[in-house]
Amino acid sequence: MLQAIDLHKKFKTKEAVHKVNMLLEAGESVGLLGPNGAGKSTTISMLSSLIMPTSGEVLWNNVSINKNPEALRKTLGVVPQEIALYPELSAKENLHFFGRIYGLKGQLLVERTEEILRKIGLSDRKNDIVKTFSGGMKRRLNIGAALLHNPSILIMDEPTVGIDPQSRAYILDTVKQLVEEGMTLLYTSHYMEEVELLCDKIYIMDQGEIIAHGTKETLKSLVSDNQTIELKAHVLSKGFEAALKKHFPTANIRKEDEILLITMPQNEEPLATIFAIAAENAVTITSAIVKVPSLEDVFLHLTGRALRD
Amino acid sequence: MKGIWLARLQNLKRKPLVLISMTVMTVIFAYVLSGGVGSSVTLLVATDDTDMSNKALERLQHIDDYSITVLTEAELQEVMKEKRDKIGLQLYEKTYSVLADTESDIVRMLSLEVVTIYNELSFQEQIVTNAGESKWEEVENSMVEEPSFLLEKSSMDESQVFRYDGALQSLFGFMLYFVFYTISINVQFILEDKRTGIWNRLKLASISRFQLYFGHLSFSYLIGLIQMLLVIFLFRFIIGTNMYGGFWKVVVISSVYVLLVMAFSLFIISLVKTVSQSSVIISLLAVAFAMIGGAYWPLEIVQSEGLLAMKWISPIYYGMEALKRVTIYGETLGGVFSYISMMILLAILLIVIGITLLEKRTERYHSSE
Repeated sequence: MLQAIDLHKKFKTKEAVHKVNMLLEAGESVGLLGPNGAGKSTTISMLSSLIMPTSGEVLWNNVSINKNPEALRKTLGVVPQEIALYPELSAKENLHFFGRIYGLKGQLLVERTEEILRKIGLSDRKNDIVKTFSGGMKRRLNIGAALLHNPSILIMDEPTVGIDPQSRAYILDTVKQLVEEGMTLLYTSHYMEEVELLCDKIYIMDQGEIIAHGTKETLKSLVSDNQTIELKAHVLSKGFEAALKKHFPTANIRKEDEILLITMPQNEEPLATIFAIAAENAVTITSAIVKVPSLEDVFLHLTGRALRD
Repeated sequence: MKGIWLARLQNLKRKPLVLISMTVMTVIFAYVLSGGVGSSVTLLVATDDTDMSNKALERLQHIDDYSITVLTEAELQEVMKEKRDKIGLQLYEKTYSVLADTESDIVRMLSLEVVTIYNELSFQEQIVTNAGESKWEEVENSMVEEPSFLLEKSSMDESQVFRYDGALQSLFGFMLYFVFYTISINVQFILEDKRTGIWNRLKLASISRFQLYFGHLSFSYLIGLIQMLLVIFLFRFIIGTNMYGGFWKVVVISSVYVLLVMAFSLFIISLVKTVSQSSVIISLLAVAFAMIGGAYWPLEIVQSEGLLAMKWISPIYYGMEALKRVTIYGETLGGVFSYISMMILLAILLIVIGITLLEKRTERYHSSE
């Protein structure tokens, strides 16, 4: 069990993390969701014993890691956001290097390396130099290097940043498999769909603080009274947007990539009214989708900002 | 630490170009700029074929400092007309003449040596003529066993004496300059490992900070030292550069200099954020330090007070002076203790400051997510 109690971290005058409390039970998959700069990586660094909190503490099986980080480190795998690999070495050489660092040797090292290469789907490229790999392959190897010593808890910091959809899908499948095999997982991302797919419990972080936490269902219930209507039109005039705001004063109306998003209570049935207002403003609606709340909406509801702002 | 060495060795195996190119550049620059020869002076000598001039030539041929080519009088005159950069020596029965374009240190030294040879030969001839060959042998033995003067050598203040050896100036200068790049490129791996997250990965594998720094720094030190030793050995034993009997002293000073450059590189990477920033700063500083530290030219010929005042900040200055003193000036290691201790002290100071700043920077990496 990994537990964060009242974690604070201050860098000079900037408070990066403020009063963070978290709990990871064995076998649980926990998501840490938040926009860039929310304090996720700093929190992870404290949880993994890389940096000391300014105040508060991290407990591993009820023992503070501030005093004894070794017990946690032996059983912890961390996948950093950066590609923490030697680009001039081959995939196999990289894994051998990190395996040796964790004390693996001889036949055990060879077997673990082969097993990990199979798991991350790089067996056929094991002798190729890492710098020749695609972004997705590097990310997969980055994960592999954290799994060599067979950790029981895995912390992943934005493991799918900047890769193609196929590699992303491969990585998500691999992580899902690890979770099914019983791995305790802390997964941070600003892609809410990844967290939604992989995690049972979610912490939402913003500006250094945990602003909400719970299961997906619990969190969504925070905005369950609301529905989101996505409108597409040939031309979305400002007059149309203003008329909608006038007619639905309690609704949150915003525009993203030429799509108009209207969030309002679910008990309202607004489509007929919206089409009428559109007709009055000479706007031709080409599509209208009514959506139930997502984690994105939860974040918006809690902060008033979109997750990727 | 073994793991770090292994990774660095594998990396070196894949990218050996830096070490090779810096070593080759040192050799090429030092060889070409020193005239492609060792430090012995090439002397063109002609005699008038008298007994005295031939004996003088024989004595000169026993002096290691000169590489002698014997010519006829006519040939010597002809060659000296065409090759004005050479030094010619015409030996006669009772006198001699030095043919040179400039009154250099070497010419003065040569004249002194020829005068000494002639005096000794005249003295020998007078004794042999008046008292016979056996008397000369007796005199010669007594001179060895009971010398007339007891000579005690001590070095003069450096501001009062200037000795120049072009071959060693080029060799030491370029050796100290190019190794700056080799070492700094290796030390930059610390910055790169921190930036890429490898450093954290190693820390999570319970490798202590001491082991991490020691592993990287000791490897960088060794690579720098290997480059220096390759060059020193090559010039001493293949090219035949005269190191005035100070070969092992050169090795010792080089090992201390490498430590200083390693510490300096660590200090530089602690001030910057990226490897490219560090490369730019080190390139600029290496050139500046070479200029003010006397790598490109001897500081004795520099007139600018400002430039001379700045020499103290250049690591190359300490290395260069110590190396010149133990070779050209024949100093012992004790005689250059001030330079060696200064290099060690600066190295310790820079390592402490560098690691402290780098650790603070590690915290900043986490704050800049």
